[in-house]
Amino acid sequence: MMTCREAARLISQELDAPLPRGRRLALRLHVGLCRACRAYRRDLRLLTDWVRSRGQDLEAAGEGSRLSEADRRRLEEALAGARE
Amino acid sequence: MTEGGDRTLPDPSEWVERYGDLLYRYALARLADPDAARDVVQETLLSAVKGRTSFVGRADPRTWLVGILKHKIVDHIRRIVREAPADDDPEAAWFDSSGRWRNPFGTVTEPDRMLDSREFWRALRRCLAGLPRRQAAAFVLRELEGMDTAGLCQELGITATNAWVLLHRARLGLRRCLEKEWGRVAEEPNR
Repeated sequence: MMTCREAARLISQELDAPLPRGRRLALRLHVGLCRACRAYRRDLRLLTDWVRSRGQDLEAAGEGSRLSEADRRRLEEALAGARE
Repeated sequence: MTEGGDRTLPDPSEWVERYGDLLYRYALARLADPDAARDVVQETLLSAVKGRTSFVGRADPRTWLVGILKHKIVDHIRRIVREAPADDDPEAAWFDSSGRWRNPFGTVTEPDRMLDSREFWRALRRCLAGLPRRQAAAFVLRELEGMDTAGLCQELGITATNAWVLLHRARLGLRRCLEKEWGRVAEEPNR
């Protein structure tokens, strides 16, 4: 049977490209029998769905960080300089 | 775009005030490095000033600026990847010699709570910052910028197999790291 090491690699790869049929079936068999790989696949799908659905949301991206006052001033100056 | 509809480009003297934080947050989520994020925002604003006659009023200014920022971010990531050393194989730490998990993952008990938006972005940024740079770069381009395998190969100058290996290691590393971050969240009662 396929090892967990190999299964983990395919669990990731199927998020990027369709797996060849033989690999896909072997993975299905492994995951059906292996609780750890099942949990890993579930978590990766959660993580991937979350990031893909929110990645391009300009309002939500990145946890409310703000430029510091110093950075703000530096940017203002750079902009003003560029216009002269 | 919730408050879109703004089709005129404000004077550049207002840009930092109006768009600075938005651009900074976008860059920080991708580069996980405050200095690098500020630098790409600066490059973006400077090239926007030079190119502002190309803003034709069809787009929201924010979308236009973010479009420029995306290019700057990819340029930055490409530079990082070119300079970064090849990664050591981390898989031996995750799997034993017979290919079994050394430390199987537990079940996430409250996924909704773990995926609370702001908390999650913060955890993701910390975890991305801890990954080897090539892995973090591949993950960001793939998942946050939505590039496909072909795009990744082109931007990073790698093969499809390399790309999948980098993404696999990035995801496994992130999952491991997030477990710690989520563990912390779960321990705080009534958060």
